[in-house]
Amino acid sequence: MSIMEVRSVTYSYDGTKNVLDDISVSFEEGKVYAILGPSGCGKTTLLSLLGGLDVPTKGTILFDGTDIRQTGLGAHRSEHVSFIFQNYNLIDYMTPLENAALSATKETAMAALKRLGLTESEIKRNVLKLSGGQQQRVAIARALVANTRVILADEPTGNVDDAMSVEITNILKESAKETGKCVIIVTHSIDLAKEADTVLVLKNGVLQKQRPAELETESN
Amino acid sequence: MSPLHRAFLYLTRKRGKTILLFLIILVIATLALSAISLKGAVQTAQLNVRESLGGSFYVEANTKNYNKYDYDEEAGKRIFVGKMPTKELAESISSQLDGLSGYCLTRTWRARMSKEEGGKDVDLVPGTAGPLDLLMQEQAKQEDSQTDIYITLGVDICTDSAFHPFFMNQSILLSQGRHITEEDNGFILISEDLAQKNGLAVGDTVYLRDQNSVLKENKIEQPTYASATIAGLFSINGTSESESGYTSAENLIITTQNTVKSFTVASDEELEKYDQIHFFAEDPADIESMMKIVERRDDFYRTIDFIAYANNERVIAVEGPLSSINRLVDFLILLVFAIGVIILWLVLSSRIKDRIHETGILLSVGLRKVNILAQYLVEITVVTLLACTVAIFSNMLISNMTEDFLHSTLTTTIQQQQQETSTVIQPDNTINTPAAPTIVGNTQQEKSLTEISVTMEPIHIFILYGAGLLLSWVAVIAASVSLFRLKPREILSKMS
Repeated sequence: MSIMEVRSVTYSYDGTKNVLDDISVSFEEGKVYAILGPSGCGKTTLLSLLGGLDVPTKGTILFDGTDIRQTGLGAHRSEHVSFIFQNYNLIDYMTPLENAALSATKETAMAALKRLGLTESEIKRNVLKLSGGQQQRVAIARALVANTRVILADEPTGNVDDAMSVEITNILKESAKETGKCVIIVTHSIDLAKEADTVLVLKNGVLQKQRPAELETESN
Repeated sequence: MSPLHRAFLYLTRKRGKTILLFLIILVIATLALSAISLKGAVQTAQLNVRESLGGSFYVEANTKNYNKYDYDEEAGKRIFVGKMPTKELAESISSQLDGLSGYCLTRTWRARMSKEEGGKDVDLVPGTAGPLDLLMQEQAKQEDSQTDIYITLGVDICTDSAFHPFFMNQSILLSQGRHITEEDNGFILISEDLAQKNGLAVGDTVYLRDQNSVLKENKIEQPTYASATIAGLFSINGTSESESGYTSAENLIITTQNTVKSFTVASDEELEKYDQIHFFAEDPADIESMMKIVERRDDFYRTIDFIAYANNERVIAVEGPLSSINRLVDFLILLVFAIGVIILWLVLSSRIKDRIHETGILLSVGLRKVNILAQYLVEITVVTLLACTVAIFSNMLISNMTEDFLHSTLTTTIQQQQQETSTVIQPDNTINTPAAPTIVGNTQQEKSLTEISVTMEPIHIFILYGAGLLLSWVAVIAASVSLFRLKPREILSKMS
C-alpha cells in the first residue's frame, strides 16, 4: 500500500537547470527502497524533499494522500518521517540514551539501543566516546523509536567499514519487515542497493525503477 | 525530551561554555549594578544637600541707588527714602511663583530686656572678646548710659519664625515651645543659653524696651515697657562667632511686628517696612528660574526699587562635585550598557550560531522551532539569573569602596567650601543696625551632608534582572531568528 507519493516533482537550485525533472514515484510500507546514482545527481535533494526539509519547484509530495505542505513541513518531519544521516548527527552533550530519547520515551529508546547491540555502560557514556559504528546505531535507534512510518537514510553506511555496513543494512531491512516501516535509503553503494526491495536509479534528473537483480547484471 | 531537560543537560554537560558565559554576564551585571547603585547614592546625596542646605533667595531694597537718598538737615545725614519690602510685595511675588515652600519678611531691631518692668537688664551671653566685652556691658548698665547698645539684644522681626533664615538653614533649632507667626502679639523666641544664664523658661514673661540712644534721638524721656511671653527656646547648631555679646546669636530675640510696635518709639508706618523678604523653594534647583521671574517684574527691572539675591551658593558649591560624579556615573552606565550590549550580543549570537549543528539535528528529529528556541531561552535565563544574583553580592564589596570614595569627596568639598566662604551663615544685611549674628560650622548639617550610603534598592535589583533578562532574550531570539529563517535543508547543509 502506497504511503508516500512523489507526483511530477521538479527541483531546480537556480531556476535554469533541473536537478530533478518531472519525477513521479510511490513508496509502500514495509519495503526498503534504495535511491542510487552518481554524486551530485540529486539523491540527497530528493530525500530532503521527501523529508520536508525543502520544497519542490514544481509538483507535490503526498503522504497518505495529503500534500505535505498542507500538513505542514514541521509536522511532517515530526509525525511522518525520521532521518538517519551519513555523519550520524548526534548531539554531543547527550548520552546515546538521551539522543535516542529525543523523539521517544527513555524506556523505548533503551530497548532499541539494546536491541541494536549497545551495552548498558555504552548507552550511558558520552556519545562521542563511541566508535563510528556504535554512533550510527544510536542514530538508527533514534530513527526507529520515533513514532513515524517512514525512515529516510542518507548514506547510512558511508562512514563505516564493510562488516558494519552489512550489519546496518540488515538492521534497516529487519526494521522494515518487523515494524512495517518504509525505509528509503540514498546511497551510491551498489552492494547496499542490492539489499533493497526496489532500486531507483537517478540519472540526469530522471528516476528509473529497477529490480535489484537487474542491478546485479548491470554491475557485472 | 522537554526544552527544560535539554537546557539542563546543556548547562551541566557544557560546563566550560556555561561558566564562561556566566562570568561574562557576572562582570557586566556587577558593573551595571554598581553604576546603578552609585547613581542612586549620588542622587540621594544631592537631595540631602538640597534638603539640608535649603535653597532660598531674598529680596531687599535697592540701597545702592544714590537718587533714593535725601539729606536730613536736622539729623545731618543722608536718609534712604526708596521703597522698602512690605507684606504686599511679598504676597505679590509669592503669587507669581510655583514651588515655594514659604516666605518670611524680616527686619532687625534692637531692644533691652529685663525680667521685671523697670528692673535690671538680663545678663547677655558674653561674646568672644571675653573680659573686654563684660567691661563694656557693665559700663552700659549705668543709668542713662548712651552706650547701652552693649546691653541690648538683637531683635529679628519675622512674619513666621518657622521660615526665619536661621531656622531654615538649621543653624538654630527649636528645642522647646513653639514657633510664632505675625498673628502672635507679645511672644518671643530666645536662645537656650540666654534663658539658662538668666533662669528663664518657656512661658515666662520678660519686658522689652528701646535703648537710651533711640529714646534720646526721639526726645522721649521714659521708655515704654512691653511684656512678652517666651513662646519657645532655640538651640544654636554650630558656633556663634561674635566679639560682643550684643551681636551674638545667643542674645537674639525672634519676635513679631506687633510685639515690637508695643514698646518702640518708631511709628507704625515705619514698622510696616521690612529689611528683607526670604523666599524658600521646595527644590533649590528652582531658585534660578524663580529669580528670573522676579527680576522681570517692573519694580525690579524697570524702576529697580528692589534687588533679588540668590542664597543657594552653598548648595551649588557642595552639589558641584556631586553633579560631576553624577555625570560621570551617567557616562559609566551608558558605557557599561553599550559595552554590555555589544559583548552579550556577540557572545550569544556566536553561541547560537555555533549550535547550528544541534539546531539542525533537533529540527530533523521533528522538534519545532519554538521548542528549540525555548531551550536556548531557558539556558540563558538560568545563567543570567545566577549571574545577576551573584552580582548582588559582588556589588556589596564594590559599594563599600565607592561609599568611602564619595564620603571623602564630600567631606573634602565641604571643608574647602567652608574655608573659601568662611562658611558664615548670614542672616540679614541690616540697613541700620550693627553687625548681625553669625553662626559657623553647622556640625549637624555637615554630618548629614557627608552621610552617604551606596545601597542597593529593590528597584536597582529589579532593573538589573529586568535589563539583563531582556537583553539576553533579545540577543538569543535575534540570533535564533536569523538561524531559523534558513530552510531546514540549508541548516543541514551548513551543518554538514
